Amino acid sequence: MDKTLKGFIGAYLNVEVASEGLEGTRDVLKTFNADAVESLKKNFAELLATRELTALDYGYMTYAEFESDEDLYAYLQAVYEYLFNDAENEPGPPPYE
Amino acid sequence: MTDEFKPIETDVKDALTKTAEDIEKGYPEHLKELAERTEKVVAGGSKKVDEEHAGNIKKILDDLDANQARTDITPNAKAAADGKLKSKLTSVLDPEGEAGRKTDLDNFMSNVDTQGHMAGRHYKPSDQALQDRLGDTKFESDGVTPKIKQSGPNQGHVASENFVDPLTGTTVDGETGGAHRCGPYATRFDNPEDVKQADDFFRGQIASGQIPVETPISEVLGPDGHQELTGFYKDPTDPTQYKNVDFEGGTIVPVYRPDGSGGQKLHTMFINPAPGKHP
Repeated sequence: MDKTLKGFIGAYLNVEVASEGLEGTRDVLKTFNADAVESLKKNFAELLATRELTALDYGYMTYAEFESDEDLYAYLQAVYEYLFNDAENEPGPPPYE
Repeated sequence: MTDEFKPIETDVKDALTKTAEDIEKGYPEHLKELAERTEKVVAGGSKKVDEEHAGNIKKILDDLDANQARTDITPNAKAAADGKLKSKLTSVLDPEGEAGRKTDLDNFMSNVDTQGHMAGRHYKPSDQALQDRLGDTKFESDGVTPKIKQSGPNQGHVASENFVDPLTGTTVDGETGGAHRCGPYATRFDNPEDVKQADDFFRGQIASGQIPVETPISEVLGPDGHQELTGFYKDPTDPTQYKNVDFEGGTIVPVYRPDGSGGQKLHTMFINPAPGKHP
């Protein structure tokens, strides 16, 4: 898995950060190097295609607790659309206890 | 060189006049000589010297040499350790400048405090506030047995609710106005120097065209950088007790937001232990 994408997920999709909403993340991506963000987008799309990350792996990276890989990838697809394609619906991680 | 000794007091005084600027360029060769001469004078007993002071200088110089010679760490980790040691050397050589440097750091942290909640959640909180952040323990249906997570990434950790946000002192999240959330760990930077070193590291990445992301502590604060951080998690065998987080192998999580002027502000930054380290 791409190192920057892995670190991005660990930071910006960490349960504490993602629970605040993703608007600030979408906005800050527009202030970073455009080539770096394009590369992030490409690698994110690749992850959605390969599904190489399990819900458990993702949980170790973010502490988010998804019931299944299907739930995780439905969430990640929505995150991708929100962050990179300006989708209106802002997804949130499952509640943490 | 032994015959050419200046009185050690003069050497130390000279060294004290060296500024942080000299040290930025690389620690001067004359400081190594000073340390060597200091050792000999101490051994000869011919001069009255501050052995502790001289020893401190020598130790840091030796540590700098040892760090430079290391081949088992990455260039980033080496640079981080080098920066910390030079900062320490500055403190020893220029104690009069400590007050000014402290003021600069205080101003830096005040500025961080205005940028987001990094300081409010991950620098200022007391041990008690960190433990309160972990919330109230949930219980099984018998109302007595603590609920321990049986599966998933947080398996073995205590299930909790009513997480107290240090920003508000209540379960209301100071950012969102909703319920505050906290993972299994509540953590804190203990030193403003580390906060600054980390912010500088990530801003350097942004300036070089990279996206600042979760990064090993060792890469940012050096191979021993995990030692001056604090964190707690609930003891699964007795959730009324808290255990210390071991940050060795852990990571720093930086989160930036737009500053409204095309740049970035530090929204938050926190530390996590390595996955699976606890409970």
